Amino acid sequence: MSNRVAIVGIGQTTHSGRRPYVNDGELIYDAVTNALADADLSINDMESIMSGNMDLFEGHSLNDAMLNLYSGAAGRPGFKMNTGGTVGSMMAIQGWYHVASGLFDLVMVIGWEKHDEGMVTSAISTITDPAVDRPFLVGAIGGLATVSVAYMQRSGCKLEHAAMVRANASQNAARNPNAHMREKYSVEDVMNARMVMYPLNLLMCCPTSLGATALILASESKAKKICKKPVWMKDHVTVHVEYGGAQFGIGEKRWTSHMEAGAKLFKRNHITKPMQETQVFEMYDPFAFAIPMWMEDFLICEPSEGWKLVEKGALKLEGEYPVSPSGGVLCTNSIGDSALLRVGEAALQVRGDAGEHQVTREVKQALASGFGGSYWSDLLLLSKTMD
Amino acid sequence: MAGRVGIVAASMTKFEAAKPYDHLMDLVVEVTDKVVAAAGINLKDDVEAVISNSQDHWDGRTISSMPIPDATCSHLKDESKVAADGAYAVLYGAMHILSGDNKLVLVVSHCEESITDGTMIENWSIDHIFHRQLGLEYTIGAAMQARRYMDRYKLTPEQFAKVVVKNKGNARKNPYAQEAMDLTVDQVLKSKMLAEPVTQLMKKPVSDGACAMILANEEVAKKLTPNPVWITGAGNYYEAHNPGDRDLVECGALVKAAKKAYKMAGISNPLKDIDVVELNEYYAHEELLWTECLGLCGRGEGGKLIDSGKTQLKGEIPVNPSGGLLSGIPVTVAGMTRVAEAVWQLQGKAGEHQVQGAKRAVAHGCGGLAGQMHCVLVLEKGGK
Amino acid sequence: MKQKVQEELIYIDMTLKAPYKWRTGEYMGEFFRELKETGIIYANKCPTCGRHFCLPKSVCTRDHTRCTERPDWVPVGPKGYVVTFFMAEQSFLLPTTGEMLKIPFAVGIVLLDGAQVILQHQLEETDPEKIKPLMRVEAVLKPKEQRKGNIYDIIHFKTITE
Repeated sequence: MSNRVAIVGIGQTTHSGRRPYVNDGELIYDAVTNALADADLSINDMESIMSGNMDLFEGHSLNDAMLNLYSGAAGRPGFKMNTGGTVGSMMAIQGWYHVASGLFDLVMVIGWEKHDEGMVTSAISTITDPAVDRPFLVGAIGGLATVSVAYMQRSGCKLEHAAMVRANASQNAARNPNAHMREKYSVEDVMNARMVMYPLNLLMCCPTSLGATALILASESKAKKICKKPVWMKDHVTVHVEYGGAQFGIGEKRWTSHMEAGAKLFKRNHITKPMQETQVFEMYDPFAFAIPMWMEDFLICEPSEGWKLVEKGALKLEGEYPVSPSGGVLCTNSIGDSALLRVGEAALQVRGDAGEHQVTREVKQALASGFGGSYWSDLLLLSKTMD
Repeated sequence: MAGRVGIVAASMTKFEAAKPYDHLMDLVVEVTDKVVAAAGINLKDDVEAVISNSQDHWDGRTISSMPIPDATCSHLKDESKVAADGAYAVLYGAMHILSGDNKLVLVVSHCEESITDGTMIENWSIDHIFHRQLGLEYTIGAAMQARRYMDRYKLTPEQFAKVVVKNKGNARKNPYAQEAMDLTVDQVLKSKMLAEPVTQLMKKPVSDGACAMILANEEVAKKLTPNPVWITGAGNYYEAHNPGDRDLVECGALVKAAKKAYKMAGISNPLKDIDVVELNEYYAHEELLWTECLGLCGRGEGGKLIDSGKTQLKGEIPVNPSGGLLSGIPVTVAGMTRVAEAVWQLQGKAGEHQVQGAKRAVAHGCGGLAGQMHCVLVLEKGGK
Repeated sequence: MKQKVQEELIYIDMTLKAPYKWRTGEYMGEFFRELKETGIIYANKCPTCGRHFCLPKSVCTRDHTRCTERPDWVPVGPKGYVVTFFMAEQSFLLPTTGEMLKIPFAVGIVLLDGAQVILQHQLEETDPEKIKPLMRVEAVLKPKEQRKGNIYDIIHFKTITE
C-alpha cells in the first residue's frame, strides 16, 4: 500500500491586523471555501476535517468542536492538535498521517488564528512553567531576542543584516496580495524603527495578524484521479527538544532542533546540496535574524555564512536561493496559520501558481518549516514528482 | 486496515481527587517509566516518537506539552500533542504506525483537574457569541440531555442511579480507582441536586492522574509480548456544536463512529461479537445512552439493559468493569484509560475485575458538551 | 450615532479569569524551601551524566535518570555569568498577576557557577549597551524575613566586577 500523500487544494484568506466584521468561524469558512474551489471539490468529498490553533489566544477551549459548523467538521471525523508555533506544520503532518495510514483518502487541514480577539503576548508567556520562569518571559519575542544576541556574538552578523532581511521581505510581501504587512521598507526605514526588545525593533519582529489557511491532502490513487498538479509531500521531520537552553550550546556542541531536522531530512532524501536540489524555502521566520541564522542551523549553508548570503542578495526572490518569497512570517503572522501557510506557499511555488511572488527559478522541490515551542522545528519537503 | 497496530503495554497512575505532591510532569514520568518497564523496552533507544495528550486550559499553560520532551527523554525526537480526548491520541499513535513511519511509539496523557475550576473551562468551550453568557457548561448540558432522554424514551432517574451503583461498586475491584463506594439507588438520588435530574453522585468526581501506552507494528509487537492487543477498528466523528442543531439523544456522532469501527473490525452483532466495553460516562445517564449507540441494545432500551443486569461485571456484556469515569478519572486522560482497561482485559491482566475469556473489547472516548465528539476503538486479543 | 451602534453590535467584551493552583512537585518544593530558609541556591545532579540543573529538574532530560535524591543536591552560584539576554521596552499584561509589566525589563539567561543548565531571571542592569557576553553577575536575595519560598526570593542578578 502506498503511503504517498499529495496536496491537491490550497486556500488562504487575506491576512490583516484587525477584522472586526468577521468572527473566527467565518474566517475559517473563507479558507475552506477557497481550498475547495482551488481543488474543484465539494465539502462532501472531505473524509476528515482537522483544524488547529492555539486555544488560549482567543480564549476558547475545544474550539475545533466549537467552530465545526464553519470548518465543515460537524458530522465528519476530525480532531485537534496544537503544539505552539509549529501547529500549522503539525496540521500538514497530521493530515499526512491520516492519509498515509490508509484510514482516509481525502482530508482537509486548517490552520487559523484571530489575534485581534485576544491578548497574544500574555497568552504566549504562559508557555513557561508557572513556578519558575513565568515572570521572566515576555511573550515569544523574549526567547527570540536572546538567540539573536547570541547569533550576532558568534557569527559576526550585524543589525544591518537583519534590516536587509526585513527590507527584502517587504519587497516580497508587496507582491503577495494575501500578506498582512505589505508596505515597502528600505534598510534605513528598518534600522530606524522603534526598539521593542533589544536587538529586535518593531519591524524585525513578526506582526500579529489574523487569517486562515486550508490544505486538502489526498492519497496517491485519489490525487492522480482528481488533481492535475498534485504537490507531493515527500518527507517531513518533527524535532522537539528539552525545555530550557539547548539552543545556546552551553558546555556542549550546539545542536538545535533545526540541525537535527535538516540532517535527518537531507540524509533520508539523499540531498547533499540543498541550495541546488531544492529551489525555494518558505521558512518560518518570526524575526529578522531567523533567515540567516536558520539557513546555517538547517545545515543549508555553513556556519557564519547565513548573513553573508543576505548581504549578497542571494536569498531574494530572484536570487540564487529564495527564502520566504511570500514575505514569510515577518510580514504575516497568525500563529495557528503561519506554519501551514508556509507549506501552502511552498506548494504554490511548486505548482507555479504563486502569481507575482512566484520565484524566477523553476521549482522542482521546495522546503517549508515550522517553528515554535521550546525551540522546536518541523521541516517538510515538497516535490513536483513522486520520485 | 492495511497492516496491524498492536498495543504492547499500558500503564496508569492511581487516580486521586488531588495529587498535591505531583507536578504534572511527575505523573508523566511515572506512567512513562511504568509502561516502558511493562513493555520491556528502552525509553531512549526504542521509542521513536511520543504522542502527548493534554489540554492547555486545564494545565493553565499554552503549549501544555512544553515539558513533555524532558519527562519522556525525547530530546531531539518527534513529539506532538493531540488536544482532544485520550482515545484520539491512541488513534493518532496508530496512524504513526500504520503509515510505516514509526515502528514503536509512546502515547501519554496527563491532567490534574484539581488545579483549576473545570466548570469555567467547560464554559469556555461554548460558543462565545450566543451561549457562553448563559453560563452553559457540561453539567447543564448533561441535565438537558438526561431530561430529553427521559422524555423521549421514558427512562427514569432510578435507572441512571443504577449505573452509579454498578460503577462505583466495580471500582472496589480496581486498584487504580479513586473512589469505590457501596451505594444504593436511593443514596444516589438523594445526593445533592446539581441540575435536575443530575445529582452529585451521578457526576464524575474531580480527579488527577495520567495514563500511557506503547504501540508498535505487528512485527515488533509480537517480539515484545506474547499477547499484543490489535486495534482492528476505529471511528471518530463530530456533531454540531450549537445545541439547537442537535437532538441530544440522537448522538449521530457516536452511532457513526461505532458503525465505522465495527465495519472495519468485522463486527455485525455487537452483543455477540463483543466481550467487554469500557466507555466514557462523565454523567451516569451517558452510559445508558452510549450503550444504545454502541449497538448493545435497541434505541431507547438503555434503561432496560441496566435493569437486566447484563452489563454487570459477571453479566453477558460487562460495561465499565473497571468502574468507569464515575470512579474518578480526569477529562482528557479518560479515553486513554478506557483503552488501557480494555487492553488489560484482553491481556488477562485486569485482576479482580477481569472479564473471563475476553477476546474482543470496545473502548470509547468522547468530549465536548453532552458528547459532541466521539471516538470508538475496537480491540482484539492477540496471541494465545 | 449610527457608527457607534454598529460598533457596539459587533463586539462582545469578556475577561476570562480562572483560578489555578499549580503543583511544583517535591523537588521544586525542596529548592524553594532551601532558598527561603538558608538563602542557598541548589542544583540537582544527574547521577548518570553528572550535569547540574539549576533550575532543578526531577528527571535528567538526556538520560531519564531521577535526580531528586538528597545527596544529589549541590549548592551553586550565587555568582554566574550572562549567556545572553533580552530587554523589553514595551509593556504588556502579565498573565499571572493581571498587572502591566514595568519597563524597561531586562532578563538574563544566566549560568550559575557549578551549573550546566541555565535559568532565566531579571537583571538589575537595564542598559543594553552595558550587558556584555560572559558578564559576571550575582544573585541578590531578599532578606530572610521577607522570603516566601518562591522565585521572587531572588530579586534580580546584579552586575559584579571580577
